Amino acid sequence: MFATFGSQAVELEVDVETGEVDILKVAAAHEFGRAINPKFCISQIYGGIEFGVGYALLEEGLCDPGTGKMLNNNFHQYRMPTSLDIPHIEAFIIEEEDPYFAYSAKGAGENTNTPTPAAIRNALYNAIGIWFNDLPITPDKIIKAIQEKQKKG
Amino acid sequence: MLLELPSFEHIDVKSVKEAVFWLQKYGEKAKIIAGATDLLGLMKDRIEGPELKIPEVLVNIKTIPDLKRITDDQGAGLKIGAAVTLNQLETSEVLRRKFDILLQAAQQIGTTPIRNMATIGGNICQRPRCVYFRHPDFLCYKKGGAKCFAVIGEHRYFHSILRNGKCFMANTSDMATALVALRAEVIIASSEGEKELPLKDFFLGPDHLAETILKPDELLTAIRVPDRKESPISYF
Repeated sequence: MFATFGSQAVELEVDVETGEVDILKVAAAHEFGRAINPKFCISQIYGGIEFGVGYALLEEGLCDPGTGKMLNNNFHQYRMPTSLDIPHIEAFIIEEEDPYFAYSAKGAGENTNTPTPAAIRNALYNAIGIWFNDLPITPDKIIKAIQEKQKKG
Repeated sequence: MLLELPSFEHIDVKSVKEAVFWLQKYGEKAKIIAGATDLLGLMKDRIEGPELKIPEVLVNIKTIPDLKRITDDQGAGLKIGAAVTLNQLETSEVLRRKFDILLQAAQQIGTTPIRNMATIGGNICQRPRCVYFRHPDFLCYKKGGAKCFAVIGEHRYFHSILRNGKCFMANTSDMATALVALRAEVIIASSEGEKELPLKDFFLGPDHLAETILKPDELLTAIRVPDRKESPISYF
């Protein structure tokens, strides 16, 4: 068992007419214990953020409600972020000593993608004042939420 | 799961006349192939039904030089061959000068490898992107089944309900939207010769099995975009 720590910040733009989200910049600082290969760690952060952007905005497994069969089991309907969707990323590695692990090295795997959807959701709240509780945050959900908010006044 | 293509005959034709000959000979068993980005996907996924058969003969029209050209006929407008790739449209100087909106529409489609392969004719004649149509386990209306699964099923991404009909798919062609706005015309070749009709009459409504009026022995050869006296501002 180990505890790794990290935090991310996202800067984004929302088109309130079409519901499109454009991520401009992501800053990520992660603590992996000692970074044995710092370049790998930075790449791991990039990969985690790409994963997180897809998780937050694009990727959704569609299932038929009647039969439960997965409908978009191919790459043209299950949308993953491409190089065009990935913003400028600033990655920092924070190195800490941990006496319980060999060479103080901890994991750098999944913990890089978990903060990204949360940061995107918080940034969306900051931009349009709506909390989203359902991933992925697709344009149709954003437009619907904006319309409901306007109705309430 | 690794899917393999079913076996098929592949015919390279040298002229439109030859293509029509093969289409007439094989009828429903034959399909036109140009970019293959749409058709081969359907064949690999084994999308079939009573009204939609996996083609056994593919007639390749990329080998017809005339269909791969953009020609500027003075007075009659621009003639774009059906096998012109989307990348050719993107990089065309004539298009940039005269119809910038077509260039912008072409840039919106897919990714660079797809645009290098996909053709304008194929883009207009593409089959629905509906998740139920593209799934081999659902026999939807377009494949000869009784109903559209999207009505009570998953319909958030590839459907639109504009009026009552049997199929609720949204036409996914970006080029068609831009071309209809420019009042483009399509040129269709068949055994009886060539005919020209407006692009907006080329598409069928939601109550038909096919999306276009093309019959099994007909072939879309070119798109004509008429010249305009004034130059309106357009943006896609």
